[in-house]
Amino acid sequence: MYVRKKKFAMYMVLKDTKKETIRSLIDFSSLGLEMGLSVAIGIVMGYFLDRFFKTYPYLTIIFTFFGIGAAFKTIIMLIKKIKKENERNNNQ
Amino acid sequence: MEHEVFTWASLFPFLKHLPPHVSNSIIVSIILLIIVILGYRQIRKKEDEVVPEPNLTFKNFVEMIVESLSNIIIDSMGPRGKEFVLLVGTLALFILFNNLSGLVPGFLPATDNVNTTFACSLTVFVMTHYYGFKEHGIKYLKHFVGPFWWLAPLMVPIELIGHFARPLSLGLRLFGNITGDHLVTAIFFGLVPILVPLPVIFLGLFVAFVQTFVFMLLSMAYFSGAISHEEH
Repeated sequence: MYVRKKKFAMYMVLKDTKKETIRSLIDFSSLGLEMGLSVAIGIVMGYFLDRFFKTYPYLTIIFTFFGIGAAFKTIIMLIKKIKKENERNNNQ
Repeated sequence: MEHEVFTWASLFPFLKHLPPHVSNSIIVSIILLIIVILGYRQIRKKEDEVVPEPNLTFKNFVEMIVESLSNIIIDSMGPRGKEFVLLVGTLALFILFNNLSGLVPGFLPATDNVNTTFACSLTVFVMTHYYGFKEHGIKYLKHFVGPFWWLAPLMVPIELIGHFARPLSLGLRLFGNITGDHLVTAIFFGLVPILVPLPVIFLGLFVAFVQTFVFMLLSMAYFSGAISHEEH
């Protein structure tokens, strides 16, 4: 009976870690696409604003850097999320 | 050797002239509607039954789908998740059945067209901000300003770009995965029609479920980010 209980508890822990692994896998896999797309969106926004205001290279350059900033912000938010989850797991 | 490709949509007179992604999503929606109506009638009929039936019936099947969906949503969003079961569950079922329809010969899955996936992801985008404004009122705009007010000219474009990247990445990921999978299956089927495309079809089954799960999980993360009360 005791062994069965222990096995069951191990199974539950395994199941939980598996779930968490899948969650974090999805988070990490979405990171790359989102980083690339934010740089692209920045460049496109800058280009069209330049066409609108007729100030060709300047806004494109500025918005490229905004896009890179958005990409880095995505990484920082993910790191914060992982830190929070780790703290919550350690407290349990 | 040009010959007309058979599709199930060509059997219906009013769907024949529509583009394939529209007609196939209509067929999938009709199938879903039939499941919903039959399940609703079964549940209405046996409402006061306490002991569940021993074997798998249609009623159990429908209950299982709804229960597992709402369990996933409430697990990852907390008690507030109940408000989003309708929206996220509808999107998940629509995307899942569309993805799976790609495995049936004669169906072009609607999700291998950019228009369908972006319709789904833009729904999520609009509803995210709707729920944000509903939860916080005009203070929702503070989410975009960042931690300090003097950082606002820097943070507002960055946050805007980040928020625009979300629906784009959601739609693009779903579209790319389903298109790639469908294309690989079609090419292998054209090369060797016996036994060789089987692993690819199995992979397609896997991809259909995983992409639905990813779409659900990411849209739930966006929703819970919009209604959360913490400063960031």
